Amino acid sequence: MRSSCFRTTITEMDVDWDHEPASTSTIPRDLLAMMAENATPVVAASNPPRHRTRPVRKWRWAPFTNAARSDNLQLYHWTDTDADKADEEPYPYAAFNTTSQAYSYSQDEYDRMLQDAAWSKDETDYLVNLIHEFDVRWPVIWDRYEWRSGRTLEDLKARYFDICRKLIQSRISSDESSTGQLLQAYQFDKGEMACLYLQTQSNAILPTEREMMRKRYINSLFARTPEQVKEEEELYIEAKRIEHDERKWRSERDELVRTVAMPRNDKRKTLGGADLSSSTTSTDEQHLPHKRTAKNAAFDAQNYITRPSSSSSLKSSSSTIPPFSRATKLAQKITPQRIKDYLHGMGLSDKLAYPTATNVAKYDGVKDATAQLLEIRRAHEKVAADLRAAKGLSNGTPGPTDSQTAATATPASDRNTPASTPATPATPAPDNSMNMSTDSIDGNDPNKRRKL
Amino acid sequence: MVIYGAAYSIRLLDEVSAIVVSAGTSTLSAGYAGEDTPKLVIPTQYTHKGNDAYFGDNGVDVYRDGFDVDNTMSDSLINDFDRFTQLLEHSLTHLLRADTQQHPLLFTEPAWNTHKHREKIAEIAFEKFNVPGFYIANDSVLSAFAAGKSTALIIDIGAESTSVTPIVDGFVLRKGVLRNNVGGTQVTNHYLNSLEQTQRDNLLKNLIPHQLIDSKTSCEPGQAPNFSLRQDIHPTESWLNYSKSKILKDWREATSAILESTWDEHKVYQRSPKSYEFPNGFSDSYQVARFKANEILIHPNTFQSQPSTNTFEPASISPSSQKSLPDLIRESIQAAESDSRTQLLSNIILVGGVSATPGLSERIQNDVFSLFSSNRVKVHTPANPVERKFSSWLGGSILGSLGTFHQLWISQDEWKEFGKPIVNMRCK
Repeated sequence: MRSSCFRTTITEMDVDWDHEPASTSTIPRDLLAMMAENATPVVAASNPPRHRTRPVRKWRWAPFTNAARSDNLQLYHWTDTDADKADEEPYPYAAFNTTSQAYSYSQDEYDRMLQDAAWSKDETDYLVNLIHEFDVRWPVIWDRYEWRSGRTLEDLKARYFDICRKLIQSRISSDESSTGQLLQAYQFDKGEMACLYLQTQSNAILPTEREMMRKRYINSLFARTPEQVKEEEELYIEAKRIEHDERKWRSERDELVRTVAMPRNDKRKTLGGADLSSSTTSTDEQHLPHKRTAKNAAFDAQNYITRPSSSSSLKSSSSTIPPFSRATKLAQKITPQRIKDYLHGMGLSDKLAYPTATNVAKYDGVKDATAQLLEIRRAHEKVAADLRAAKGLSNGTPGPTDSQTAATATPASDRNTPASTPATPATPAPDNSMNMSTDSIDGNDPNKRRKL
Repeated sequence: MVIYGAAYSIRLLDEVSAIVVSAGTSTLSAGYAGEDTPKLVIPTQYTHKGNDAYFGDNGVDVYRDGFDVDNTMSDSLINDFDRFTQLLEHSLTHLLRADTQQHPLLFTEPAWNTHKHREKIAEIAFEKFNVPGFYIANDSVLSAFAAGKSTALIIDIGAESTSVTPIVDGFVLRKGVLRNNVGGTQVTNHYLNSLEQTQRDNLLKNLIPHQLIDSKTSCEPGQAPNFSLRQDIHPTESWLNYSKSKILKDWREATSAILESTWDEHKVYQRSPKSYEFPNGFSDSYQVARFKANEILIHPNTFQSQPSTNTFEPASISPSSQKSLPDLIRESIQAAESDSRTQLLSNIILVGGVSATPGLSERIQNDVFSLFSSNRVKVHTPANPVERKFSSWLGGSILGSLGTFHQLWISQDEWKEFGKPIVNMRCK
């Protein structure tokens, strides 16, 4: 009796897992499952599972007509709708019979506003027919377009969208804003002007003028050979590397400048690198000990302390300073290397044999004039280069233009690179020691000198 | 009007039990739209003697005394309309046992089908079979549909030709349809040419259709077979040629393959040979030649010098001065509009009987990628060989069961009203 009760429970559970029956509450379900695994197969004899009984839908092989067709073609399909209802219900797939609503025009509209010198009426009709036929699928339309060879897809689009815009404007619309939106949607410019525009202006193109440019870019991208792709990748990596090196170089240079800048604050008062050490020591000690002495002077006087000169005690004594000519100590403007080079070229030394006050003043005048001269010459070269570039552009041949702009761009960018910053007179003094060395290298380069 | 497009899902299906017929150069497949394989696949060849003609599997494959073999199709186009009508009648009425008056008929056609041909097929369908509706669709478009794509570049390598067809939005771009005359037959020829002299002689000597063999016993590979011929059979030459080329086709399909990268004889030696047993019990194994054979698909011009040793197949056009497959693909892509090119390249679909050759899709992927290395190239091949072989039929099966397609059928009424021009108006 007990086993039969057990059997019933399992059967119930088999059928209805969701509601745990009260009778099994003493045995956990997973334990029951383990038992059931070894137990003899349970036959659901007493309580067969009850399925939901629902009337089976009746399917018929029934005729139907399609509202999307112009004729009454009667085809047959399987359907579960009743025979009497079937006539009332439209064919569900007829709803998919939609179009992209391509524009068309009347003869009158064409005569009034759609005429175009490049397009005959017949060809326009042919185009619009194709657009209707292929539901504005442009690649297909262009493929099937056989009226006249040589029409590009952009020609076709420009013509059609032009027609659309004119039709939208002329047709009466109840809603002003929707007309505007439509016009916006049919904005199209195949962008013949954009090419020129892009070359003269730097980067601003109107969004509508992009079509031709875009096509050109796509084509040139597509036409790359494997070598070009490889080269491009290599160049990209190279550019990244250079960029990285540049950053690194800059940061190192800044670091260097920071460490060098302090001692060289008033180096411009000294003349050359020769007495750098002596001047630095003197400048260092001019500030710190003076402050200290100012503070402590009273204290020292009170306590009869005699302090030795800080310069002699802390740093080199005067005996370590090499002998020098006083003329080299003369306060003199620092002369940029390019001016020195230029003067050298003219046979002038940068050291005066008799640096009297008048001579020095005159010599300074000469140097100022030279600086101005060089400045003017550089400005002149820049203008001339720009002029050349502009002429190249107006000639319209992109090939030489590019090379020309590239050629002119090189010196311009050179001028901006840190290596040649000393060339500009506004160079901050701290850079000088380093710049002098680079400049002297540059000075040996005849090209560089000519450029300057 | 609606034009059939990309999106189809199971809910869009509404079967009207249309019959889909797809006829290629060597096989005709037919079946009901909505099914996943054709109900019947039969050769397009038939045997005839005088007015007697037999079609299908019981036609050419059965020996009948004095019967000649001919093909209803050539170059994927219908060659002989009278015989083709008989073939169609045999398929639809005798094999499918369908009452054609109740089933719309969907036909496939190659991209190079002519207007005249389509009109003629429509005429046969309406006048002879009284179909309620008729439509003729491009087989490349259907292959794309079968792969679930509406934009694709279809490479179809069939029995007699290779074609490359760009499809955009379910339409063939006609300017990009290119083909050459290199197909399975040419591969078989080249396979024979690539064999060593003794191996080739052995093969040709033992090329005997099973219908002619009385008895045979097993023998060692490469050894002379033990078999005896039936003495009461005197086949016609055309029948013998057909049967022999059928064996050769099977031999080629069973053994040939292609290297995944460019031809390199050293790589071939690392591959294992494959053996094949011919109907008379003779068996042999093939190694280098079985890879070399398919190279003709990729470079038809490099293998032109050898004379054809295959005398019993129809004089096929010499593969020389044919464009190679990579060339075809490149030109076809370039003929397409620049916006569609990337999409085409990433949806290359390889179909047709020869496409089942092992390694071919990888090879084409490699070759196309080396042509367009700046683009993403993806060659899709249906995994199932049935889907490769009958991809256009399968596409037709999908198209013919779409609820939205039923408005495109040319109805009997429309045929009567507009006549032949409606075919070219409707089927674009």
